[in-house]
Amino acid sequence: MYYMKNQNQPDVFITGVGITSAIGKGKTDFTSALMQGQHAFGVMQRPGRQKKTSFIGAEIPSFSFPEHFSKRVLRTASFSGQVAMVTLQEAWDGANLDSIDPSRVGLVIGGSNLQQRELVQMYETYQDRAHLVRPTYGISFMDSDLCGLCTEQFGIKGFAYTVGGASASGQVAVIQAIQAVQTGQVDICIAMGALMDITYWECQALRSLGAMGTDRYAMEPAMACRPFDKNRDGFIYGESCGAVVIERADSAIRRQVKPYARISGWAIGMDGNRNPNPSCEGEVGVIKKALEYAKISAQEIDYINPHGTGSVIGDEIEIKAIQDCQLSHAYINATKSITGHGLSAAGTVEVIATLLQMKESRLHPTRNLEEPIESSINWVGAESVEHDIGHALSLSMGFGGINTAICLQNMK
Amino acid sequence: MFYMTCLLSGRHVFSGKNIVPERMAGSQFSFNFTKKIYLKGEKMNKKDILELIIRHIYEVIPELEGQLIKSSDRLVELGANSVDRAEIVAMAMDSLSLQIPRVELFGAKNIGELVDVLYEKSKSA
Repeated sequence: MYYMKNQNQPDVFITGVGITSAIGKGKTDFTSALMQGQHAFGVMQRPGRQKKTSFIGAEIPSFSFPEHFSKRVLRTASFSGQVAMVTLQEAWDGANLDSIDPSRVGLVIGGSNLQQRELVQMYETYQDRAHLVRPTYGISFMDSDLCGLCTEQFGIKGFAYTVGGASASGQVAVIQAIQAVQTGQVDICIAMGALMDITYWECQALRSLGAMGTDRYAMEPAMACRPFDKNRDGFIYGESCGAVVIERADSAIRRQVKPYARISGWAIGMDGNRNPNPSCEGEVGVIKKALEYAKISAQEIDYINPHGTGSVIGDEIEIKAIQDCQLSHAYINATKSITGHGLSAAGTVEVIATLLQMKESRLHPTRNLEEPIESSINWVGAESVEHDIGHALSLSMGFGGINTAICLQNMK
Repeated sequence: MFYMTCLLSGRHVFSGKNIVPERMAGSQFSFNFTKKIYLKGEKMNKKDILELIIRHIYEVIPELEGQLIKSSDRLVELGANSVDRAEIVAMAMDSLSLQIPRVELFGAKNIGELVDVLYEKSKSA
């Protein structure tokens, strides 16, 4: 288990958020779509997503760039890179970072193999004339190009790197950023869950693996994504990217920025298992460790944002872990029932969904939860619920036996 | 990138006749452009190669669109960095369906000289 042995660490706040997703660009639109359960699922249309197939997912509608973004940079930036820049702009502006010493700002990008669709399209275009492949491919094939694009656009001079943790990447990035500010490497660190731009290759393999949903709902795409429902049969992909500004309390207070929440605890733990199957023991381990770090009891958690993908085994094990941790009283909904599964982005996007619900004092509905797999859980069903979150718990799990948990405390 | 830096280095001469290209729709450029005008196997003349390169310059550096570009201009002085220059040359080779190693384009000091060397290579291709 990976956590801070010395739990008397400096307080850390989240002072800015940025979100780009299929259901809304920017926190206002995103919040409103979440609260109304407004989804964007359909047969995916983006080039490279289908090959005589009809994979269901949610895709970001066209979006525009701020005027000051360089067109020559955008021309060769991948879709993941473009979305990263737009998303970071919102978080950057929200936390008012323009006046900050850029050498005291860091960036951790969660996700690996982010730009698969760009790569496949490049191979298809140049397979018969490889010697003419675009020179910029030499830069853009690396995930760290997202670091290059973002640090150039925003003048970040502290550090920037990518971290990978499969579907937990977004939370791994947040946890890395927390430590970077707690240990004083930087004062402010942005954590991003980057958009994982998958192709029909990944869709097919994930489906064959039993992780991604089948063709069962091909005729009714809106029904396909149904975490924690008895009739679920796998996750449904949804394009998204999230960025949070993580800042030591002293810095936030000095700058007089209003925090969204305090990050009160976290933990990462591995199952020692390369495969996609989850482990109840591993999930219980990180939940308990994060609560211990936050110095709160299970009873004090009043909202859980679960991993909840709609995976047949994953959902079941997660509910069992929540019950084992005496958390059945806490409200639970499934953000992925509305957004779809953003893979590398999910961990960050769901921390943001938690913060926005905290701010609204309202919990978003869970779509398609017609027959919950467990009746003793405090589900938020088809309607949103008014609720003041005091302490929230956000969970992520990923292939390769990675489990992460983050506790967020409302500052109201 | 080193050879690309060498490729377009050298003295700039601010003279000669200006060749004013039609304003092209930068990013809308189609790779089939040359094929639409020229018959299969037919070689492009220098004027059209210049126009082609200028289109690629506008595509790579959209900020230059509408600005006059002359054959005596040097890419560096138009604001093209080493990556931009490599892209422009690769696009031109692609449009001309050149099969030659890029090192053979070494030595051009300005856009006009790049046109010359591309013309020679496409003639002998």
